[in-house]
Amino acid sequence: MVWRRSAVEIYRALLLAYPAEFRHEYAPEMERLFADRLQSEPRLRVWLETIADLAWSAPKEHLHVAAGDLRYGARTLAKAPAFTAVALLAMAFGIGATTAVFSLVNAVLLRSLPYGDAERLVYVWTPIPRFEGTPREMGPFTADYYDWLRMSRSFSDLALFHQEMFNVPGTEAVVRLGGARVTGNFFQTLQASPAMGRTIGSEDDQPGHEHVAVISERLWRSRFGADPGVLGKMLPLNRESYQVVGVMPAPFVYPHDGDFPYGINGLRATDVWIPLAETAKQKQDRSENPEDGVAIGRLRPGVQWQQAQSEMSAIEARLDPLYPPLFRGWQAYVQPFVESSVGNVRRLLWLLFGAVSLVLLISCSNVANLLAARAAGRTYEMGVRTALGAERVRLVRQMLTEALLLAAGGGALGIVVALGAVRAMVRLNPGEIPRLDETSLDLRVLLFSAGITLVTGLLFGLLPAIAASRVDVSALLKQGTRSIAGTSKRLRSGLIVTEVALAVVLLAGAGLLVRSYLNVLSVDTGFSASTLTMELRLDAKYQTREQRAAIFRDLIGQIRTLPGIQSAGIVTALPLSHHESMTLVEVKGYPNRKDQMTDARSAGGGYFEAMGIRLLAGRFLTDDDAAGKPPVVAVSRSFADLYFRGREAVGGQIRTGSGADSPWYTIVGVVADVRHSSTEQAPKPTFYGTYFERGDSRATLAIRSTLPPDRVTAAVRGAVRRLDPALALEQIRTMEQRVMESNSRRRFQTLVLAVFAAAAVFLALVGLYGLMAYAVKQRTAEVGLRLALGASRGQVLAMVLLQGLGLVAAGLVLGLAAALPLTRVVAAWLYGVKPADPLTFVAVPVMLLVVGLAACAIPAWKATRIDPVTALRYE
Amino acid sequence: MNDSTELRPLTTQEFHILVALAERDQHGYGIMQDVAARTGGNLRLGPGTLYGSVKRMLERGLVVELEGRQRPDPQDGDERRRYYRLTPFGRKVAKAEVARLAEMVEQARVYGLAPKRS
Repeated sequence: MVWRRSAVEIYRALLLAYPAEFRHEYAPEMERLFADRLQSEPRLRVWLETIADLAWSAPKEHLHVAAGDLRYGARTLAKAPAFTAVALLAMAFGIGATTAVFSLVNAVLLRSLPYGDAERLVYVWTPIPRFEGTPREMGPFTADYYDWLRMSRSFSDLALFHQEMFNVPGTEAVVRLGGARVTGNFFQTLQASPAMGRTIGSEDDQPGHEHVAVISERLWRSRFGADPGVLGKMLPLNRESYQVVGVMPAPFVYPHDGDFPYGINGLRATDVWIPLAETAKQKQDRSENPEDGVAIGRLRPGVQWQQAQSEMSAIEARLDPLYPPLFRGWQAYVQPFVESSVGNVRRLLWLLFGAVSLVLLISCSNVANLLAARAAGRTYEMGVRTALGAERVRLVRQMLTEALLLAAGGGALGIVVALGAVRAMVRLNPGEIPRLDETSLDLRVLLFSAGITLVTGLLFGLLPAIAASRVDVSALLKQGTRSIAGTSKRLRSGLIVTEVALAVVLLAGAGLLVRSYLNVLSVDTGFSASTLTMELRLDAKYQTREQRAAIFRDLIGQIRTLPGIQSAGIVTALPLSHHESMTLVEVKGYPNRKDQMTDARSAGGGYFEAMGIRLLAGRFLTDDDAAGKPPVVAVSRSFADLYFRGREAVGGQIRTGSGADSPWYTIVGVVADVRHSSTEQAPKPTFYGTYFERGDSRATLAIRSTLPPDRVTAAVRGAVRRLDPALALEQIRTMEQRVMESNSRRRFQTLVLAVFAAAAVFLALVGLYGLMAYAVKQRTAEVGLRLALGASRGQVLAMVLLQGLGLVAAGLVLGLAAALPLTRVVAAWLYGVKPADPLTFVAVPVMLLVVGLAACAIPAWKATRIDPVTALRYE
Repeated sequence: MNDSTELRPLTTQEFHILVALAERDQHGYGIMQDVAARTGGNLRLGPGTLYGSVKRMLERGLVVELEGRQRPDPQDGDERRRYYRLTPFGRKVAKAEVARLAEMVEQARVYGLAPKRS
């Protein structure tokens, strides 16, 4: 009957759910059974029961096949321990390194920040582009901020804050705490809720109500012993007392280092927030020296940052004329928060991710190579199984199961590798990578490694499996095992060429970075590495310039009398301390440009001697230069070169500011250039005034001593305590440490890329060795025959070496062709090296040829030891 | 060959197939009908379950497939049907299973979970 035939056909189609082997064996029987039942039983019942049977038994049959394949796979892997160990190690390294880099990407770029929807947060800066060389990220003046609040429509909230370090008396010494004075809507803008109590609100943000504080979880633990009754307790900050009203949850430590440029250098966390509480006068202050802060806003739903940018540009254009004429030119710059906090790290992370992907690819192709070699060795087994009726699909499935088993083992080991690598990375201190400490293997990372394990297993399993299953049975039976491996051999040679090419790319990139790093290390910084530096900030007690100058003068006087001190001085902006200081300058006898800016520092005591900054002409500044004498300055070499080309700088005159009434300063000395912003940035023209004339509330001490830094630090601490027990030193570091910090990111990326390149070369070497060893074994009879026919051992040696080096050469050509354009990717990180650096591009091929030669040497030597008689008998 | 008592316990389906084959050699549909009849229609072996079980019982040597002349007269006119026969080992395994079940019933009886022997 027609309906029964079509029912059987439907059932036949459903049988595709079963494994092929099972289907081929039993499908006709099953169809017949189905048809028999249809004849004698109600149709609906047969269908229901059959579908239920299918749903239950088809997966079961697949499981039985998989279990069998797994057992078989595990047995065959166990039988080849050397192969299994090498493959597992290659996989563990590849997956481990990729997982480690991904966990870094995850922590820095992907994991959500504790600030509500961080994508909608923006900074609003006020650059003044007419002053060349000034940064774009200049904080707005308080008056501008309060006008923005009234005038702008782009933000649902816009907050202002000042970063400040607070002196907090501890049980033993004064502790320095990172803090911020914030407007009443700060926490609302960041959408941050307290773990306990409340945050700062608009009612606190009024003069007279500002003595409340919100503290970090860390401070709550360290200072209050995690006391649940902490709310209402008092916290002394800078000689004033604040009542704790709230505790933030642990992840909230905003702002910290790396959130935006020119924040407090090296501040890992903000621990205390107090109200900004500006007076009405401060809110309108547009004099020549108003207060500035950092403005952060949350975009209104539907508003893009570009729209906010155009609105703020228009608003700032209206506010600018309110400033004194010589003090105008302010613009607005809206910068997405995420770009500021991770923007400069993003490219580094993608570089690492790209490099590690190459390593993973090489690992995969290496394991594919090993599998292909083994598959070639199993040609006979495959051929016999095919002859016995096993299907290609079945063989591919078997080999894929084996590959996935291997990948799973490699993945498990890889996670262990990644754990270690993540710890090493955090300890390496790559420098200013936000949230690096939080790098860990979370669920997302584990899912990622499981994913790449699966993908790699399929990747390196599929090619050899397909190649191996394409066995020509009749050829196998006619000719034995020798000539069958053709496809597999081509595949393996192709893989080796690819591996060498990828290794070339990585090695070229690493070579360029290593050369750059060496260049950076050999840079003349202009200062002595052993100088000990420490920063001291005065608080509100020191109100006048004289008071501030006096305490620093006293401190230097005391330090000089300490034993073992050779020289000591102070400066307003120390090299590599992230403090920048610029001013307008006019040079007598030079065609001055409008808005001509230069770097400016104030130095006091024996600053130049203490820093080891060389004197090139004239004399250093001294403490006698200060009061009541004609004002003098010292200039840097690049300053002299720029403004006094072809004439004597010493004796020349400059003045700062823009007023025609500013006094002229006479240059008394020219000193060597120093690297200021970073070790890599070329020195900028700089002049040094005398510190005691200015009396800043913050200065950095520079001390040269014969004693170890610890003892000097302890002695200076004592001196500070004697002068004022409420003050504390911070940022205590030798210049060498600052150089290390400045180079830390470069060191990190160079090291990581070098490790990846070394791994790539090693993997390529192992792959090449394996291929050559196998090829020699395969050609035993041929070599034997050649030797029997009179070929010399030298000829045999050359034959094998040439075969191997031919592959290396092909890989080199491919790799160099790929590397030349790709080095542009790293161009931004190069220092003193061109992307097409001839040395690198000669050294890399030479090195790989040497490595290739080493890899081929043992197989080639073995080929010469072949005994013709045995070889031919073996055949 | 393996000692029958060391083998893992038979599944219910496998046991029923062994019992069905104890009487006479049968093809798949015959086994199915036999099992259904003996269990009052409670256990109907679907094709996948039936042949999956048969496949593993073949692998374990509990049953064999009959070839050519060995097969009973093809009454239903289809010579291509596969017939299965219980092996001596299969019979031994079935007996061991019966003994195990009997032992369990005997224990249950002690606790009043099964009717007393008459």
